[in-house]
Amino acid sequence: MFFGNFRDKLIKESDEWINNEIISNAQLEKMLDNYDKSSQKKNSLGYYLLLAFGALFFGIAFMLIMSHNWDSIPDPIKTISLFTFTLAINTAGAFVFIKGKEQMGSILLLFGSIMLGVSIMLIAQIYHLGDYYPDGIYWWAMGILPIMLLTKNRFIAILFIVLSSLWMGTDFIEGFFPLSYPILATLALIISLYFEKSKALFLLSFAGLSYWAFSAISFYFANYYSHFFQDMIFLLLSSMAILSYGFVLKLSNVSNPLFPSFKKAEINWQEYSYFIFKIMLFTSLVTLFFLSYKFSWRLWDVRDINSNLIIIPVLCSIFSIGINIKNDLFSKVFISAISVYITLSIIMLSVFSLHYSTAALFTSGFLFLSGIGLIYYGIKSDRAYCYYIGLISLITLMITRYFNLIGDYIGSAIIFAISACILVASAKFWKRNQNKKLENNHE
Amino acid sequence: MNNISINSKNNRGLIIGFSLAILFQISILLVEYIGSALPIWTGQPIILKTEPIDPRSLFRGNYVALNYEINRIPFMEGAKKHKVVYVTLQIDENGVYHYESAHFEKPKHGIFIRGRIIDRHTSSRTNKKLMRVNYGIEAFFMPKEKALETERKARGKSEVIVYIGSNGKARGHSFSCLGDDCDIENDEEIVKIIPISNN
Repeated sequence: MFFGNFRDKLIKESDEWINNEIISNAQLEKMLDNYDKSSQKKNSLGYYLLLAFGALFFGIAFMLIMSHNWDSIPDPIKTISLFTFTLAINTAGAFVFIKGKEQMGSILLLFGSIMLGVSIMLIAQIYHLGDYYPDGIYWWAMGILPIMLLTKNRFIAILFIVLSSLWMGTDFIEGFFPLSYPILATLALIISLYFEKSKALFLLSFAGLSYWAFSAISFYFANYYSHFFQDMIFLLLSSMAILSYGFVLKLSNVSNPLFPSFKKAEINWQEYSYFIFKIMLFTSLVTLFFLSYKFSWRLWDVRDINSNLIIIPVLCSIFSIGINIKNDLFSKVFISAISVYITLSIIMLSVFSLHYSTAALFTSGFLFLSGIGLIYYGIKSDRAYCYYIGLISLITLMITRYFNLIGDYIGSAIIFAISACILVASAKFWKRNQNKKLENNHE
Repeated sequence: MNNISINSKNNRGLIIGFSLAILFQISILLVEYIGSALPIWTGQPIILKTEPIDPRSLFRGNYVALNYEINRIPFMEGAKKHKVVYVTLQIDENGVYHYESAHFEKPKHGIFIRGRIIDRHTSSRTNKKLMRVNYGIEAFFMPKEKALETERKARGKSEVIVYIGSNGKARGHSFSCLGDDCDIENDEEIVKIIPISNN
């Protein structure tokens, strides 16, 4: 079923169980209470999405007719039409929303928000506005902001954060500083944390804030006509990675959120945390894979990093480990490992001026151990993504470093043998773990 | 009864909220419209000659990139990227306007146009330090077919009617002439600018 989940499948299966008197209706109700009821909401969302697309295509057809005759329409008529359509769609959406049909109202208001942007762009075209174009994107986002706060609808919020981020990016490119972006992104983030479950919204807000932080530092310390050299970018990005992991892992275990009464029960911060963590983990492993080659370190000129600036990753590490000190063992071990790896790598190169090949070897070793750690943790806690990522990283490392990690055939043979032992051991450990769980269930 | 009063309070809040939100959206459009149209309603029309960036692709699709003689002016000390600059326009004995001087403060009299510094560079021909200034009149929108037709007629020469408000803000309005038509004299009210030789 397209919008179904486990609960819906359970309902379907239970018919036979009730007919065969395996369970009673009361027992079924009790079981179903444990599972997510939001599939009902998803079904009605599907209905409204179809309606919405239907309305959207009508709107596009109408706009195409307008575009065909655009040139022959006098400028005042064009302008009045744009004002009228924007006002009409938004008013209709607001009216429907206030009447209690929140989903339908939100869809109309989404169209109204898009219409606002279309009007801004078309007025600029009619009057040949060649002014600074990011301002148009900014005011489009600002026009949507009150609608987002009133409806707390995820689609409107996603449109808002996309526009705000577009404005942020273009402002930086043009040499301006988008000072108000953190406020806008935080508002969108709050919608995802408290009011509307949306992984896409959470990801966009979180990624936007991270990008702003990185760009703000670059903007503040780098001149208009020159930018940071690679070594500084490397330092900032790795420090930000430590901080981001710290926040994401902390999110998975927030016991006392601020303003808990505002938070919708179905919004699970742990889900968000796992979602972002998976993406970050995969990205990190790909990065580490490239860093296991010395050319990557040379590309970033890491040895040129000013040794006084080592304090940045050190402080980020202390902060990230500190906020996760009461978290579970995996979070503590993970954040400590990644912090130590990054900080030690930078210290080795910038302070002790070790060769890049040392850093590459260190990274290979770290990747090897991380793979083992992820496989172990994946099996122990039933987290398939950890297991598979650990497995893939281990296998990829072995296959690609076949020729040049140690240097000779015997060295490579030893590594392959060790890896084979690890993989066989992990398979046996997994089987033992599964058997143990089955035994516990039977008891 | 309590639920009903809470609901009506919520509804009242939503009505006020949505009314203000929609009013805000209309205000954004209104400010944009008035800002665009005000120079045309209250400003003085002048003609500026465009310099083609590339005669073969002067007009592209729906968006025409125009390059005016006043887009490149002599470098000023203290000039920084994005800084506002006011360029005064000078009339000569033929009634033609062209670049006179540039200032960071708004001039008290005369015809002037408001722009922003984009970058600075050195002319490869004269080795003089110049700066590029944009005035918000460098874009001209027209449908693709019309743009190609206009390009064909212009053959590298064109003049644009620009309206300048009392605060220096300008708006491009229409083409005054294209190609060979640019050699004929225009109305007395609208003064032509002849190009100064490339420096």
